[in-house]
Amino acid sequence: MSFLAKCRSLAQGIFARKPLENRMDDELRAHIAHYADDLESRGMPRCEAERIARAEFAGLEGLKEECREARGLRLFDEMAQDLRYAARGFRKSPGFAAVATLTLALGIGANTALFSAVKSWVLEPIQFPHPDRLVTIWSHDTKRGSNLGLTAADYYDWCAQAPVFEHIAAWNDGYRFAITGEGDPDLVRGARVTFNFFQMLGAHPVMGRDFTPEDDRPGAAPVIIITDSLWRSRFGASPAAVGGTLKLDDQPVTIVGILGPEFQFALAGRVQVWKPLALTAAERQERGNGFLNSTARLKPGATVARGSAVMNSITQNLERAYPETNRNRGAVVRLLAQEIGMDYANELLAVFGIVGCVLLIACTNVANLMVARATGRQREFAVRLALGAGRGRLVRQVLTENVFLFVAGAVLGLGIALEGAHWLSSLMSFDIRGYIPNFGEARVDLSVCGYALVVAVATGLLFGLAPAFETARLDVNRRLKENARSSSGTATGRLKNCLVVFETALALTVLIAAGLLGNSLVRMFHVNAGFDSRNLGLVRLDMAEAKYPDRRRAEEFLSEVLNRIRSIPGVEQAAASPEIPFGEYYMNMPYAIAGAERAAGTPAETQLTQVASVTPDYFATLGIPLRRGRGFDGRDRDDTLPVTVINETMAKRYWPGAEPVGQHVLIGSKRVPLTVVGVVADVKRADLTEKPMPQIYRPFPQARALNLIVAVRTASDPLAIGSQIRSAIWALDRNQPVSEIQSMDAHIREQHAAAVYVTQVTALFGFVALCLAAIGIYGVTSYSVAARKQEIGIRIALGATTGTVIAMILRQGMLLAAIGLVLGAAGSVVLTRLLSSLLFDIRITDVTTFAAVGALLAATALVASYVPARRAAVADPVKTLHHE
Amino acid sequence: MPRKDAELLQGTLDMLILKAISLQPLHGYGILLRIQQLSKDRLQIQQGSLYPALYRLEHRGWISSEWGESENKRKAKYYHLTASGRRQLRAETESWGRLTEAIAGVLGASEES
Repeated sequence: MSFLAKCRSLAQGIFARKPLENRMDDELRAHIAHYADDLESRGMPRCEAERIARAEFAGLEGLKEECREARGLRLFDEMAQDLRYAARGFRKSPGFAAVATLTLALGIGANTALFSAVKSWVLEPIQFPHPDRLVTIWSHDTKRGSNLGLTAADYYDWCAQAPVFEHIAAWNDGYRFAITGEGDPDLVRGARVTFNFFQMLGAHPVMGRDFTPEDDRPGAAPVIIITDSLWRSRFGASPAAVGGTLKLDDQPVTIVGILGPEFQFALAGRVQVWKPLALTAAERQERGNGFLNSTARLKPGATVARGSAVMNSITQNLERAYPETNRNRGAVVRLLAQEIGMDYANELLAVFGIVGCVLLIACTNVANLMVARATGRQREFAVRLALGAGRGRLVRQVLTENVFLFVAGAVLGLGIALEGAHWLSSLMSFDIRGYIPNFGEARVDLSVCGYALVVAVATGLLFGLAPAFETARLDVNRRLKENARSSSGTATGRLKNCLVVFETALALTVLIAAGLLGNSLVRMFHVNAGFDSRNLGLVRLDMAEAKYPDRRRAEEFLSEVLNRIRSIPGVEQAAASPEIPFGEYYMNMPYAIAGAERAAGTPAETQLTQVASVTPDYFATLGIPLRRGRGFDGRDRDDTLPVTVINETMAKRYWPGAEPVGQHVLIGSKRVPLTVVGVVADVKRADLTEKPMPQIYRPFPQARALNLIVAVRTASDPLAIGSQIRSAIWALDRNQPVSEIQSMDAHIREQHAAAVYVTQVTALFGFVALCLAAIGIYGVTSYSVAARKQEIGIRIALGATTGTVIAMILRQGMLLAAIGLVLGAAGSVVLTRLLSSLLFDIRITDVTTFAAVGALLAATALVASYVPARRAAVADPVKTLHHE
Repeated sequence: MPRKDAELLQGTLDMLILKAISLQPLHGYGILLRIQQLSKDRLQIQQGSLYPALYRLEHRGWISSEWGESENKRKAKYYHLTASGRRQLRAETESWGRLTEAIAGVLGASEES
């Protein structure tokens, strides 16, 4: 109560100053009038009475000041005074104010932009109501410690036995639907979900309706819900689309709902079509093959730990009930927000740390400027002290000036943050952004502005301590007696030196992070992927099941398509396979080696590896070198001997030193024997950093597939002939969906987007840090040279050469840089640990990087101190000394 | 600045003001008169120290004010006690009682010995 009253009274005092002052005047005037009335009633003439009454109030202003102080307003009065004084001071030296504000704007802006990214991508990654109750439940192999696909039977058992969840929904986002009918045929990413999926998330279509349990029954009329983006691109945002039909994989489906533009389920990326799973009774009994994922909403009040415990007991019961299929099959419950934010958290925090360093460097620079300014104003302060100003008051004024500057920087920095957040998003490709919370958009909202302000005030006070300290230890007598221009002392110099060391250390840390990342990225992209990724275009071609029940027809169509593509000018070679390196997925199949099994006497434990079906020219098109035997050709048909080509790793693992050609590999659960006819080089499957694994290739006629990627080897940029490829295919079948062409190089970069992204951002900040450090060192050297002008003049007058003077100044500057470098190197080892997950083939203590970056920084420091050193050394000593 | 002869113990003025307006809401000049009257003119309150004290008390939330019309038909600011002011007055009166008792005890003892 009393505290509240105090606050209210203070707030009134600050914000309603004018009326308050008026009321104070009114009250005192009323008092005088009453007093005069009294005197008058005792018989005094009115004018005399008023004179006496007023006289008793001699020093009305002083009284009012006391009243103000009684209300706790004095502090604010003085602060307002300080602010006015600060503004006036900065107006008088606009150059200083501009440099300082810009430096701070850069530091605070970059920091705020990163904070907005951390907030949107890690702290608040989901926009659904009550995100603290949304969890993922992964089916988990407890023996291998990896996640599994959830089987339909398990899913329905979970739903029936886990009352701790309000809803459990299952989904699979691995679909690609062909949209045909009106307009160009299109391929869109799709997902199939249980009817309660959107209900579970708490997201309702903005137009139309949600799925119902009836939609999810086998044989129900097919319905879909589409995203806002598909609605806009395909239907021109027409409201008539709801209830309309669409041909999806040659089957008419009804659009029942349209999701809002902000709807995003980041685990599934940019899915545009949502369709009910509608599993049949038989499919619901499936316990062997899992292809589902599940996400659930906990009941209000239930915790993740509780959900975990319930799921554990359920999976244990299932394990006992179905030992053949459910052995070692557990469940892992995790918060959805963590699941989404986790992937990027480490990298983002590392960048946040780097940007924090840049901010500190910026602050140090400004602190340096402020210390120089405080030193320059010592005479002014000394006079004020001598006239009776309190030391505390002066310190407070210096701090106020500092905070004033920092807040100005923050305001300007918000502009930079807005642009910066936009830039951070724009670095990511469209598809990647589907997986990043909030579509990779980092929003600058009120809390982000608040963050900028808090950072500004906090750093302003912290870094204001340096100049404030400078003011506090001012010796009035000495200062007033001394010549205003002569330098003061070593303490100021020492303080500035500390700041330079600090700044150099920070800059080194940022640069080392950038150096390590850049170095690692270069190494990564120099890894031999096993094929030639340049001038290689990729086009997705999905043939409809309904149209090609006979796979031979599909094969005929495909070979005609490949022929047409080959005849396009600029195309050198074309091939197709369902699985291309760095594709969206690759399939593992069980395999065994015939001989090894016989030797061991028991069936060897089945291994899993990638088995890819490829058309004859595949190896030539991708540029995968053949090591032994032959590749596939027209001889390999569905009625000839089943053959295979394996990779070098597989050949070395199973037939070391022996001839693999002619050996047998058994694949699939049916253990189909394949004869090895050739060996090709290892190819990276999904990641440039992965270790080589066995790979098995089969000829397309012996393992036909409908969902293919066509690889096109071109003479120059493959993107240039993308439309010709589509037209060539559409000339054969106007209704055949074909994706846009994509280049393999871009595709690989996309797979390593996180590393590329962090490297780009860090490199930029590394550059900023280098510039700021150079400015800082230049500033300090200039200051110290200016302070020693007299001394240098005398030295030159006594015969010192330009060279000796420069060397003397450089020695001092480089000593500071060296100390900073050593401290920075130590600090880097700590910070770069966060980056280790992004580094490839390079240790976080890589000596070359440390040496190179150190040399760069040292060279920068040398140049930054050489310029002022030279200026001082060539100055005319006569003029300098005369001036003094 | 308060004159030496009228000096009050630090803090007593606050207590006197609270007491004065606990009986009825008063304006500044009225408070002065009321205290003089209650003390039978033995206490003279300096006008200069009255107003800072009033603002201080209001800032602490012990008294609050509103504008009204005085008996002389003049606009005046009337002060009245708040609930926490009433508590404060009670507490101060008690501690004042204890203090004066103690001091009287000390002074009385020294005279006898």
